[in-house]
Parts: sequence; structure tokens; C-alpha cells
Amino acid sequence: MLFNSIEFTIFLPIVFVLYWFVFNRNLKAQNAFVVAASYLFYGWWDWRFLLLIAFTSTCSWWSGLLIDRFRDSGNKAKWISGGNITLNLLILCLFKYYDFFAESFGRLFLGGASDSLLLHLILPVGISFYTFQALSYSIDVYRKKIEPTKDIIQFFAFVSFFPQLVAGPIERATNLLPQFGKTRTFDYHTATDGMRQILWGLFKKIVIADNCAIYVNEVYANFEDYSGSTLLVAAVLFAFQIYGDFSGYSDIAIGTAKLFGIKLMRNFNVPYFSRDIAEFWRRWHISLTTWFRDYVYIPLGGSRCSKAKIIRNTFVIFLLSGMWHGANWTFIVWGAYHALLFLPLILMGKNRRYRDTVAAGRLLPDVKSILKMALTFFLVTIGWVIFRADSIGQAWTYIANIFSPSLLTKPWHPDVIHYCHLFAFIALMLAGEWMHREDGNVLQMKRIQPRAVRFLCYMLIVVTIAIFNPGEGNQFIYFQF
Amino acid sequence: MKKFLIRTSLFILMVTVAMCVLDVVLTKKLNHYEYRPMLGWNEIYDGRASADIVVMGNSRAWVHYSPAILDSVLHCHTYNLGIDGSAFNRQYSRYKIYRMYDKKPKVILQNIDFVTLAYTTGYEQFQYFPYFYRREMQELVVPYEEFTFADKYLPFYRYANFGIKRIFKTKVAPVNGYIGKEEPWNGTRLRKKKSFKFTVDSTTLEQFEQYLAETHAEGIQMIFVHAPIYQEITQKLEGRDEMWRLYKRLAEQYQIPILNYEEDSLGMDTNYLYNATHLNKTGSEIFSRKLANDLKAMGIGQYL
Repeated sequence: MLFNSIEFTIFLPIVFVLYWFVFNRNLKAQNAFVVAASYLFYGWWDWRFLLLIAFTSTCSWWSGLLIDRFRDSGNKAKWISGGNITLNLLILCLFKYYDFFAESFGRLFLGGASDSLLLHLILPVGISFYTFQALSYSIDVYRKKIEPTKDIIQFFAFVSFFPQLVAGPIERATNLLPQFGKTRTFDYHTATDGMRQILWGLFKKIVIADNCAIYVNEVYANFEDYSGSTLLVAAVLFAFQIYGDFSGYSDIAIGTAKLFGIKLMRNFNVPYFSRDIAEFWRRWHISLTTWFRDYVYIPLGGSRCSKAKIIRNTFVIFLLSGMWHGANWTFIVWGAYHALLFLPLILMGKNRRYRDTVAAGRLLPDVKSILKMALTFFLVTIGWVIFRADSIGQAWTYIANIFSPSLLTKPWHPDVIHYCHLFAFIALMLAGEWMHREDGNVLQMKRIQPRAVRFLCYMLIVVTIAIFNPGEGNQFIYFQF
Repeated sequence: MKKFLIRTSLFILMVTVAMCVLDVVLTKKLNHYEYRPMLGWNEIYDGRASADIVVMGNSRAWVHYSPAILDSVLHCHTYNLGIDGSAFNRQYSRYKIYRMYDKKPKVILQNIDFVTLAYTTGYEQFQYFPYFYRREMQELVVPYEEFTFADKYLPFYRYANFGIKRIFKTKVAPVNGYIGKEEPWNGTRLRKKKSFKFTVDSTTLEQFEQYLAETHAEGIQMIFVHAPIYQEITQKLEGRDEMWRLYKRLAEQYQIPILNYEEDSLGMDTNYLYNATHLNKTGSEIFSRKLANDLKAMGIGQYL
């Protein structure tokens, strides 16, 4: 079920009440309830998906125990860990990439795509997320970062916890698993903070992302008919669509988890205020980028090796990151594009220049920072064109058409009033996130007193969401990954 | 926890009140909306749809029958109750509501075709939103459409879920319920569909017979009209003989004349059609004039 659906609006309060009032007396019972509720949430899409997540969870849990048991028996622990990784990745690749590679193989070597090679498997929702999450556990057990848990229910709760199950954040066992191992107590401030975060996430998803989608979908579907200026506007709107959609989902997930006394990791940290690509990748989809850093990049040697290996490692993680998003050459090219942007920074040792928040302690940034943010945003937006396109050919034509003489013409606007509203909301979102770029909590609004006025502000956001919902029930983009 | 639950409940209450206010405000605005599809309902509810001759049917009624031309030839007042995308089950609810707020017509021109007796729900449901809580809507429409529990019982939800912008997207103003479509021929639908089939739903047929019996008992002159459609559809239509047997049986039973333009020359020339099943503005005006003259020859009209 979608977060912005009536089913979830009914599901959440029921689960909340049962969690805190019925199952709170016993930790095991409460965890079992979390598993049951999460499986109900996930099974709402398709009950068959439950078999796969249960299988993945069981394999990873069991491998954790075996790794610990055979730790001192030569290479057995290594083989078990490797076996679990291989098995889970094979399952992921089968569902996600088999048809893509079979089709590509058919085109290259058999003179055309052959349907007999394809399996037409339905891609289970969230498989990329929970597979990586389960893998992080067995790898961390192998690395002795965490003790394996004997409590299978606790482990199932960690893998399937419904707020973050289908679109992240991809949690680490070291953060989330222990939270299911201890009693949770209800905290008023955490819960209200969670509600505010849910509200902000809904605003970003419904008002920003879904309204951008209307313009973006129309332009991308008929991009050859539009001027360069229109294509550029659509590219920028897609940048905000994907941000509003994905970070909105993460906010709803994190806010929902707070209602249950669970703290999830931050997944977005105002990425469009980044001053270079390296900073962007420290602020965008943090859970995935840190996963690749810790489990792929560093084991390969990271940046503490020869230049040739640094180049290799950089390309490996960006290409894998691209591939993680889906079975299309556009995602791989998108990954390669970012690798090419990142490489000069890392080779010059400038990839860690901007570890602080831009204009920290100041109201406005300086001109240099503005220009850097603008350039980084532009480069990222071009990357999003590749990401969004259906094919590399379309991406190339789209980008070429942006930089045609028609870039200087007036962009197409079917409904200028509506798009004035949309740009105003985007500006409002950016302003809010700018003001709270250091604490990350836009709706906390501590400066607004009294409480009744803050309440009214929240009410206004709810009314805005209701009025500016474009309808048509848009899915979250990252569900397809 | 208690403080959280109380404050959350208070917030939900405030939101509910706000949604009720929004619902009322938007409903009032749409009750004066001058574009389709709400305009037709507003005219019905305001009694502005009262007419001597009423056109009933689906989209073919709506775009084929020009009240202005019928009025000029027949010297009467005509209103077009055609409802887009709707088989008779929906047409009947519209007619019943029309009869509650507007005067009894002297003549009904009932457009008939291969989908009149099918069953449709869900299409352009938003046209019902502003009248949702009226008693007759709750009895005649809401139970039979695809409205969810939330649509029915949460204030403003139906508007928000559908998308307010989508409601106001169409700026087309029918005149006495009629729109002349000035669009070029588009044969895509024809090319995509291999066959067209005469469809009968038993509930719809039952309602149709009830409607014919009622109008007959009230002394309303019912006339079946089959408007021109693209000749290829007529040729491809499965169940064509069955269709005509049924309509002829009903016509005989209730003494209803049939005006059949199925094979009219308008249906052979794509210059008069904008797609395989609808005449464009030029085509509909020529058809309306033909129809008006044929009705005049039958002694229909001269009510003014």
C-alpha cells in the first residue's frame, strides 16, 4: 500500500494503537507484531512477494549464526558469508536483470530480442532495498561489527520493518537491529517530530513531485516536439520531482518509524545545496552510497591505493550504483557520467573539500558558493535527463535539443497559473530546507510561537496538500527499484 | 502518550473541519460552474433545462443533436441531455433527476446504438461531486458508481483524491447540452479495434423497458433515433441484426417511431466525422437539419 493512500491512513493508526497498547508489555510479542504488520503491508502489493522476503531473511539470519559458529574453523565463515551474498545477489539479479541481459544478448548475438529467452518475472517491490539490508547484516557479522542474533523474529523485524521496507533508507544492522532487541518507550517529542516529518514528506511527494510529474511526463513523452527551453524546464522539474518523491518517501518512512520509537538513518541532507559532485553524493540517498562505500569501495581498496585502482574503484561503485537503480543502459550510463564527474575530484584529493554545511551559521551563502551550487545542480540535472530517458538515444537527443537555438525561446506552459503555483512551492520547499539545512527538521518551527500558530501552519500545509493534489495516484518513483 | 493522542485528535478534528469548509466552498463554486460536465447538471438543477423536446443518449446524443437547429426548424425549445461515455443505466438516472427539477417534455429523441444497452460506471465520475450529498444523487447515482468509502464519508476527499486541477481542466461550454466538435478525422480507434459488438446488460435493458413504459404512460412522444456513424463500424458490427430485432420489438410494443440514419451518406465521408463513432460539428449540423425536417414531416414541433 502507498503511504499516500487511504489504506495506509487506516493501517497506521491501528498498528500504532496495537503496538503501544496491546503488544508493548512483551518485547518478543511486539516484534512479532511488527513482523505481522510489515508482512501485511508488503503483502498488500502481492502476497507472493512474502515468500521471497521470508526466504532472504531466513538465509541471512541463518548465515549470521553459521558465520559465528564456524568463525574459527579456517575459511568456513568466509565461504558461508560469500555463499549468502552470492545467493541473495543471484536472486536479485534473476528478478531484476535476467530479462535485461537476455534481451541485450539476443540483440547482440541472435540478431534480435528473442522472447523464448525471457522469463517475464514480476519485479518484487523493494527487493533491491531489503536484499542490501539483509546482506549488510551477514557482512557485519563476518566483520565482527555486530553479534549475530539468535532471535529470528527480531531479525525478521529488522529486515521487514514496514516504514523502510520498500524504498529505504537501507538500514544497517548495527543501527536498526539492536533497536528491536530492546524495549521501546513512547516519547512525546519524538512522536510529534515524526508526525511533522510525515507531513513534510507528504508535501514534497504530493505537492512538489506529483505536480512536476504532469509537466515532465508530457514533455518526455513528446520531447522531439518541444523547444530547448521547454526541455530544460522539464529537466529541472524532473530534478525536483525525483527529489520530492524520494526524499518525501524517506521523510514519511523516518517519521513513521519515530511513531514506533525507532530511529532510522537520515537519507537526504539537502543535496541540491551541494557545492560539488562529491558533496552531492554525500547528501543524496545516503543509505545507498554509504552501503556501496563500506561494502564495495573500501574492500576494493577505496582511495588508499594506486591511481589506476582508484579510477577502477570509482567506476565500479558508480556503475553498480547505476545498475542498482534498474535494468536499463541509461542507468549504467548515468552511473558512468557521475563517475566521470567524481573522478577528477578524487584524483586531485578534493573530494572531501566540503564536509561542512554551506553558509554554516549565516543566513545567505556568498556568491562563490551560489555559483558552485548552481553548477553542481546543473550537472546533476543533466545526469537526471539520462536517468529519466527511456534509452540512451533519447537521452542524447534530449540533451542535444536543450542546447539548440530553441533554448532561447519561451518555454511551453499549458497552464501558466498552475506552474506559477508549482514554482512557488518549489521555492518554498527550498527556502524551508535552506533555513533548516543544519538541523534537517523543516517543520519543527521552534521560532514560531505560540503553539496555536504552529498548529495553523501545519493545517495550512494539510490544506495545501489537499488542494494541490494532482490526483491520478502517482506511485513513488523509487518503488520500481 | 495521553498528550500526544489528545493533540493528534485535536489536529485531526481541525483538519476535518477545514475539509468540511473546503468541501462546501468548492461545491458551491461548482454549482455555478459554466463548463461541462457540471454545466449540464447545474442547468438541470436550476430548471434551466426544461424543454419541449429532450434528447437522450450517450456521447453520440451529446455531439450529434444540435438544439439550435432543431429549434429553428421545429419552432420549439430543445435540450440535449446526452451524457458522455454512458450507457442507458446512467442516462436513466440523469433523466429521473431531470424530471424532478424540470418540466415534462412533450417529445424525447432517444439516441440508440450498439452500446446504449450496455452498463457503464466510473467514467467522468467527478461530474457528480458537487451534487454528491443531494438525496436523489445518493439514491440514484452514488450506490451504482465506483465510489469508495472515503469518497462517500470523508469531506473533500473525493475532490482531493481526483485532483481539483483536473476538475477545472475542461473549459468547454455546451449550449443547451450540445457541443459541436471541430476536430479533424482520427481513425486510430478504428484501426486499433478489430470488431464492434452490440452489448446488452440485463439490468440496463430492464431499466430501458421501464423508462419506455413510464414515458408511454405519461403520454410523452418517444422517438428512437440511430444517428450516423462511420460506415465501417456499421459493417463490422457484431450482433447488428439482434440489435435491430430488439429495438424494433420495443418500438412496436410502445408504439415508438424509429428514425434510422445508420446508412446515411454522412457516415461514408470522413470529412463529417472526427472519429469512427462521432460526427464533427459540420456533420452534426447537417444531421440535425435532416432530423429536424424528418420530425417536422411527422408533425413534431410548433410548440412555441
